[in-house]
Amino acid sequence: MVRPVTMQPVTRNSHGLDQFFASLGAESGLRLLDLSQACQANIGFITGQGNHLYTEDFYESLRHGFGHDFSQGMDDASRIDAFLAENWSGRDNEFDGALVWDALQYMTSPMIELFIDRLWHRLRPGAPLLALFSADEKASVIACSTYRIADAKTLTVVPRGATASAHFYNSRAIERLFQNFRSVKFFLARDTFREVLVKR
Amino acid sequence: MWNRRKEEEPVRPTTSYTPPPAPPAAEPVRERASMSPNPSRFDDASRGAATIGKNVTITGQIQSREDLIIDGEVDGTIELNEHRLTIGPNGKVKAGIRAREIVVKGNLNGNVEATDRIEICQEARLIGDIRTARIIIADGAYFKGNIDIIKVDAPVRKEAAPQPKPQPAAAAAPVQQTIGAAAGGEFKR
Repeated sequence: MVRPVTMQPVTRNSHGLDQFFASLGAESGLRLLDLSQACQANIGFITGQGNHLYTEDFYESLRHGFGHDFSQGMDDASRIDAFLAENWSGRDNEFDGALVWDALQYMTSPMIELFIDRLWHRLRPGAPLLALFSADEKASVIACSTYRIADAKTLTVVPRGATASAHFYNSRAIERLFQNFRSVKFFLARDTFREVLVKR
Repeated sequence: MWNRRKEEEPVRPTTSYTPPPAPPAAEPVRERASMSPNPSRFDDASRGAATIGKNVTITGQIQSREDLIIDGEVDGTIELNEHRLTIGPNGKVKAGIRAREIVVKGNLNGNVEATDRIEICQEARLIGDIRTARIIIADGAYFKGNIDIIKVDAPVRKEAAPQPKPQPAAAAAPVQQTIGAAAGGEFKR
């Protein structure tokens, strides 16, 4: 049975987000990466804590780089190289934390491994990374959403469309993706998200 | 006949003076330096600004001592240190920008510094690094880049400096100063 994708904004608690900010500590002046659509809530929250923000609408970048049905183009090595060179080149150790949200679940191999490898280089050692994966193994269509930080423990998920599920990543597959990272911690939620907090 | 100019001057009241209602009126009145046949299609805040129309392309350095609206194409650098820059919905700008206030409704590619605030409207597209005291971004806007916030402890507006007169109309200046102080360094929708 195909589960319908809800298009209503949903406000939910996020233990992963809570742990993400807790692991940053009270330090300010950190440089954080946000791969959701730029929004006032995230900019206000992160800069309000005295941190710097690099934001990129990665869903839009994928659509721009690979076309609307972007999962189809991710088996072309030359396109992947061009996409990563254009969108994902940066300095080593430049970020103190990364809010990747659901960007990874739009990618298939080998794109996702190359992307995570670049991410590993761009994060400083010990930096936390928060990613969300669909927990619905049977979903053929997944919602693409914008993730807005209401507070350190609360997220508002605003759907912006839907796309064919590129690949289902179970816990074992996620651990393999982050095998070069120091730790991987899962947070199970009541909804269709699996939150993953990773330490570089 | 010889004294016509003097006779046409308005008679100034000698007993009372009513200050202008809005702070921008404190600036000297300037002639419109419009390059567009239809510059009045932007919002009220852009009135009195120079305009680069949508059929105009400029390559090079722009320095302005008044507000500027760009609805055409600009490639280079733009400096309006104490003024407001609006990039209209048809605007395509590839430039480093420094201004007091920047409003983006079109396409902007470049690093920007706005000493007061930057506003990125819905449908706008901005790729570059932002350095500003305040940022306002609408849902649907595309932004890619760094955001660095300049901390402003107590913004002081030039027009707020004179002592307010007892007339009711003069109350506009202190109200605006209060809003500026409350919003300085923070981000409110």
